[in-house]
Amino acid sequence: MVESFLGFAALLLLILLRMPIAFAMALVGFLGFGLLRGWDAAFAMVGQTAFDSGLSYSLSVVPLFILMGNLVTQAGLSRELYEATYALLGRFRGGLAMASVAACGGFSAVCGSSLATAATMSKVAMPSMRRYGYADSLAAGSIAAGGTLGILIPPSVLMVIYGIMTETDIAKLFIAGIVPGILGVGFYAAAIAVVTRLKPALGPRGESFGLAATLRALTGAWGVTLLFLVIMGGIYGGVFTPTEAAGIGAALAFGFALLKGGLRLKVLFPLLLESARTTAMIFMVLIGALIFTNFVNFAGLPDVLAGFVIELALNPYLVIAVIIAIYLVLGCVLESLSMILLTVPVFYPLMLELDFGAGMDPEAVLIWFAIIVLVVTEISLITPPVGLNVFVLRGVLRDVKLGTIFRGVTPFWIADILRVALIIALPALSLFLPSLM
Amino acid sequence: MTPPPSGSGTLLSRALHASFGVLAALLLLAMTGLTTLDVVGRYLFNSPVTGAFELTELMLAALIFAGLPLATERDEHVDVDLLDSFLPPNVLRANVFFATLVSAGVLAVLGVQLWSRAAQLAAEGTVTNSLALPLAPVGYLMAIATGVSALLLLAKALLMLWPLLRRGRRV
Repeated sequence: MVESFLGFAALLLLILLRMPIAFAMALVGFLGFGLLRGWDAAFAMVGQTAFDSGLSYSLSVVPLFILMGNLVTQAGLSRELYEATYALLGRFRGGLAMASVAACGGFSAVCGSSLATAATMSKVAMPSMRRYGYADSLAAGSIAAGGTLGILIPPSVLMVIYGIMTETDIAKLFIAGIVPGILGVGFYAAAIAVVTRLKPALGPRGESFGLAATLRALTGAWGVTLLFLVIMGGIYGGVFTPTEAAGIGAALAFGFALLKGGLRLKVLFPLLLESARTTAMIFMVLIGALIFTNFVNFAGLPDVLAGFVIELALNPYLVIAVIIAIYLVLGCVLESLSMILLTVPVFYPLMLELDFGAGMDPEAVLIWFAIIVLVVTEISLITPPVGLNVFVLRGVLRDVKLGTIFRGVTPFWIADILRVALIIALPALSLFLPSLM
Repeated sequence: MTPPPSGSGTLLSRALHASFGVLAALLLLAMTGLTTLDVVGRYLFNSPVTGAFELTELMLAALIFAGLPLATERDEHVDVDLLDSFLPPNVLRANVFFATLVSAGVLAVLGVQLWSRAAQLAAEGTVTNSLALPLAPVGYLMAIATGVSALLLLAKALLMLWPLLRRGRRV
C-alpha cells in the first residue's frame, strides 16, 4: 500500500523531470517489483511482459486501425464529410461550427485517435469558418472538442487497450461507444446553439442549400459511411472479430487512397513509417504501464482500495464521483493513454465490488465504466494546461493564441460535464446496444 | 528534446529507414493483406488461411519493435513538458540529459532481458502451434531493435554534452 503510493509519487516526479512516460513507468515498476520480490524475479518479469505484449493477437487491431486512420486522412475523406455536414447544418446560426462537430463525429467513426481527428478536421473546417467570419475562439473550440470524440466513437485504440486490461469484450465496448458518441455531437451542437444565441456575432449563418444539392453532398460522403458500416456492421453482426474488421478496414482505406489518386511510394512509405512509429510509441507506453501495474498489483493497492470501499460501505455513486475527480486532476498532467493505463488496473477491481442494483452484471459494469472513463478522458483532452487537442489546433493555426482556444473550448467543457452526469445517471445509454449482441 | 546536429541525423535516419523502416512497412502491409485474405477466404471460399492467427502475432511483435528505433530517433516517445516554461534553460537541459540517459538504461536492460528470453526459446526449440515456426528469431529481433534504440538514446545524451565540451575548450 505505502509502496504503491511511493511508486506513484516517484513516477510523477520522473515524468515532471522530462522522462518519457513509458520508460518512467517501466523503471519505477521494475525497481518496486525488485525491492518487494527480489531482482531475479524483476528481471524475468520485465522480459516476459515485453515479450508477451508483443505476441498478442487481440492487440494487433492497434496498428491496423492506426494505418486505417492514416490512410483515410491521406485519402481526404474529411473534406467530403465536412461538405456533407455543412450542406445539412450550415444554414443555422452557428451552423458551420455544428457542421465541424458533426464531421468530427463522423471522422471518429473511421479513425481511432482524437488527436488525428482534430488535426485533420482543423485543416478542412477552419478555413471555411473563417471565411464566414466565425470567431476564432468558437471555430477552434468546436474542432478541439469535436476531435475528442475520436476515442469514444468506435473504432477506438483506447477502447482496445481498456478491453485487454480488464478482459472485456472489445466488440461490445465498441458498440457501447456509439450512443454516448452521438450524444456528444448533440451536446456540442447544443452548446454552440446556446453560445451563438447569446452572441450571434460569434457564428453567423452559412449559405442554404436546396434539397438536390444537400442530397448530392450527403452521397459524396459515401466513403466514410461505407467504411463505418462494414467495420461496425461486421463486428455487431458477429461477421468478424475486431482484429479482422481492422484488417478489412485498412484494406478498404487503401482502396480509397488509391481511388483518390496519389498513393505513390513517395506518399505510402512515410505513411507506413508513421503508422509503425505510432504503434511502437503506444506499445512502449503499454509495456511500461504493464510493468508498473505488476508492481502495484503485487504491492496490493487494488485489493486494499476495494477492501476499504467495502468496509466503509460507501455509496457507489460517491465512489464514481471521487474517481472522476481523480481523472480530472490527473488529466491536467498526463496524456490520455498513460492515464488510462495507469488508473484502470487500480480502479476496475473496485468497480466490480460496487453494487449498482439489478441488471448490472460484472461485464455491464465494466462496459459502463469504460464509457465513463473515456468521456472523462475526452474532457482532459480539452482541459488546461495539458489539453492535447487544444495544442494540436494551436499547432495547425499558428496565428491563434492558446488562451483564445481554451476560452472557445469552455462551453464544450461544460457540455461534457453534463454528458458524463447523464451517462452515469442512465447506464442504458451505454449498455442497451451491446446487450442486444 | 533538442534536434540532432545536422548531417549526422540525415545519414542515420536514412540507414534506419532502409533497415527497420522497410521491415516495418512490409510487416504492416503483410498484416493488412493477411487478415483480409483470411476473412475473404473464410467467407467466400470456405478456406481460411492456415496459421493466420499466429502469423499475425509474430508480425505484430516484429512490427512493434521494428518501429521502436524509428520512434526513438524522432523523439516520439510521449513526455510531459508542463514545467518547461518555468525552468531555467540550463536546468531543463540537465533534466532532459538525465532523462535521456536513464531511458537509455531502461531500454538496455529490456534489450538484455529480451535477448536472454530469445536464447531460452532457441535452446528449448519453442515453435508455434499450427505452423511450427520458431519463436526465437522474433525474440532476437525484438532484443536487437531495443538495443539499437538504447544506443540511439545514449548517443542523443552524449551529443547534448558536445556544446559544453566546446565551450570548455574556448575558455
